[in-house]
Amino acid sequence: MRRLNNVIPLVFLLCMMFCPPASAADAPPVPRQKLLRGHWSEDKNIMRSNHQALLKDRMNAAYPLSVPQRQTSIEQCVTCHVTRGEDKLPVSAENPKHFCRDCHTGQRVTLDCFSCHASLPANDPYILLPKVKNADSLRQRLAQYQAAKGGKK
Amino acid sequence: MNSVFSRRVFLHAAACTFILVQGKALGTAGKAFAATPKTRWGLIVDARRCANECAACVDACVRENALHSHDRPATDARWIRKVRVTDKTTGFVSRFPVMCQHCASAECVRVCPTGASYRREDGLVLVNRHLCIGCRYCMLACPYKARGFVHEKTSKQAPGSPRGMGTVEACTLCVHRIDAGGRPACVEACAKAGHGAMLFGNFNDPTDPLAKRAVAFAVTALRPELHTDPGVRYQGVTP
Repeated sequence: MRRLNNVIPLVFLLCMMFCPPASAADAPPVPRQKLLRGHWSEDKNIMRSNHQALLKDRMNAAYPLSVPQRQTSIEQCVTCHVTRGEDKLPVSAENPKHFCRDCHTGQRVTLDCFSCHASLPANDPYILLPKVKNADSLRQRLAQYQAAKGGKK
Repeated sequence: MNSVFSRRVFLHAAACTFILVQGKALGTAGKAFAATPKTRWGLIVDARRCANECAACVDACVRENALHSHDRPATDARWIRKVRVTDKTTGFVSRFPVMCQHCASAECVRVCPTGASYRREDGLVLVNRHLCIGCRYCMLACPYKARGFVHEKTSKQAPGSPRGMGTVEACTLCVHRIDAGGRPACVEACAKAGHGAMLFGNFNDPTDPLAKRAVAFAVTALRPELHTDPGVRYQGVTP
C-alpha cells in the first residue's frame, strides 16, 4: 500500500502534464487552439463570438517584446476581410460597409480598434486593385492571394 | 489515517506540475521573441553631412508613419525635428535631426505609471498604446523632448504605425521596417537625398558598419551628463 501511495502522485503528475488544463477544456466558446491561417476555427459563428479574445491574445503576445507576427496582426485581418465600395476600391471603417463596421453597427457595439489601427489594407498591393472581386470565403481569398503571388513571379 | 492523497502529497504534486507547466510555457514563448539582447539597434548621425535646408528625414517620417497635418504647422505631430545648436564660446553652429534617442536607461520607462513605456530587448524604446493612459509623465521626463501627445482624432493611419487620440507617441525607429529586415525611413530618405548623414545598424555586432564607425571615431551622445546611454549618437556635434 505504501508503494502504491508513492506511485499514485506520480501518475497524477504525469496526467497533469500531458492533459490540457481542465479550465481550458471546459470553456468551449473560446477554442484557444493552434491558429489556422490566423483563425481559431473556420466556423464563422465561433470567430464571430470569439474574435475579440483572439485579438486580445495577439495583443498580449506582441508586448512587451514585440514579435514580428504580421500574419496574425489586425493588419492581416483587414487585408483578408477587405470590403469594396461602389468604386471597387477597399473601404475604410468610416464606411458602414466595412467588414467589422457592418456587424458592429448591427450589434450596437462600438468599434475602437480603428481609432488607432489602420482599417485599410496597405501592404498587399494586389488587394487594392479595383478588378479584384470580394472573396466569399477565406479559401477563395487565399486562392486569390496565391494566384496573385504566382502571377507576380 | 493513511489516505492515498494526503495533503502533503497533493501539494507536492501540484507545485511540481505548476513549475513544469510554467517552464514549458516560458520555453515556448522564449523561442518566439525576435528581439534579442544580442542586438542593440542604433543610429549615428553625422551633423557635418546634414545639409542646411534639407528636411528629407522629417518628410519621410511623416509619410511613413502617416503623421497627417491639421494645417497648424506649429503643433503638428513630428517624430523627428531639425535643430540648430550654437556653441556660445566658439560660435560653431551645427544642424542635425533629433528624435527619440532610444536610451538604455530611459527616463520615460522609469516614470511610466502603467508600464506602457517599455524598452525592447534590442534597445528600442516604444509605447504600448493599449496601456498608455495619456498622463504625459514620460514627456516631462524625457530630456530630449522627443515625445508628443496625440490631441486629436486620427484617421488614415499607416498599417505599420498605429496612433490614436489620448496616447503618447515618439519615434519607433520604424520598428515595423526593422522587424521586416529593413532600415528606418529617415535613413533611407537621407541616403536618397545624397547626404548619407544617417547610418543605421547594430552596436553589438562588431562587423556592422555602425559598430565599426562607433569604435573608430568619436561619436557623442546628446546631453552626456545625464548618462542615458542613448542608441542615437552624433558626429560633428559639440556635447
